[in-house]
Amino acid sequence: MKINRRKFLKTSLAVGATGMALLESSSANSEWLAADFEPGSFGATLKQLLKGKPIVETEKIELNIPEIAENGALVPVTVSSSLDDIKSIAIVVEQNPVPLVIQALLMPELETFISARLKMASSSFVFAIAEGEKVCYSVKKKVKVTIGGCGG
Amino acid sequence: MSSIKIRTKRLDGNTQIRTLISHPMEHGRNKDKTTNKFIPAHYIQVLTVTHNEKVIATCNMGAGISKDPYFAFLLKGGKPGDEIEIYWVDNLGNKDSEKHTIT
Repeated sequence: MKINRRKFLKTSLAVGATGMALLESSSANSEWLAADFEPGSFGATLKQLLKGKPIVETEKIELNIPEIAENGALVPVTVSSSLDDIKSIAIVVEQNPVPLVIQALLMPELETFISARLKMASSSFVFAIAEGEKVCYSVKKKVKVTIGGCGG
Repeated sequence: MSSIKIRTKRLDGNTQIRTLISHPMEHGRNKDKTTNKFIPAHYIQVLTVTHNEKVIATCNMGAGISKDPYFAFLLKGGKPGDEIEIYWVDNLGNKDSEKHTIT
């Protein structure tokens, strides 16, 4: 009992205020970073994604998402671009408890294209952030949600 | 039966890869209405797509992806007989994979 408690305190201290120790140890894949998918602010998520690169708003990336989503539990989204040097595409929902939804690392064999379906807690801006060689391209769209996807 | 369904389609010299996975994608903040307890988080963390055994996409995701997630990718080129394999790992360590041959 004593050891268990000690051990628990130690690990939770080591991971800091996050307390994600359990999640981290159970994660089988080292590439998946728990820190990226913790509930947090939009600003912090953005900082993590940019890795110090400047952010450029562009029209060369197309973010296809309905302006009004009837059901926040299922919002179809498509990101495509004619830019060729894109290494990864991230989709971020500003008002979600966990803003980062998906980060897709695309090899050169793939066109810069991804389609997925997201959950949205409430009406929010949706950002697509594409990481290029030197800069990160971003594009945003406002989506109005009539029924939130996080209710229970 | 595998939880993954894969469909491919040739589009203007490219190949569209679509996949549908059956998975609850619980984020851990929903409450079970009958017991009033939180439903534990259960969601896919990493989805990998390979083309002829070479990894072409790695998607790290949180629980912000909808239940029974759908994804589509666009492969440059691709020809009949090429093999596409998709596999996922979730936060509880479960995993699944499925192979598909482009026709």
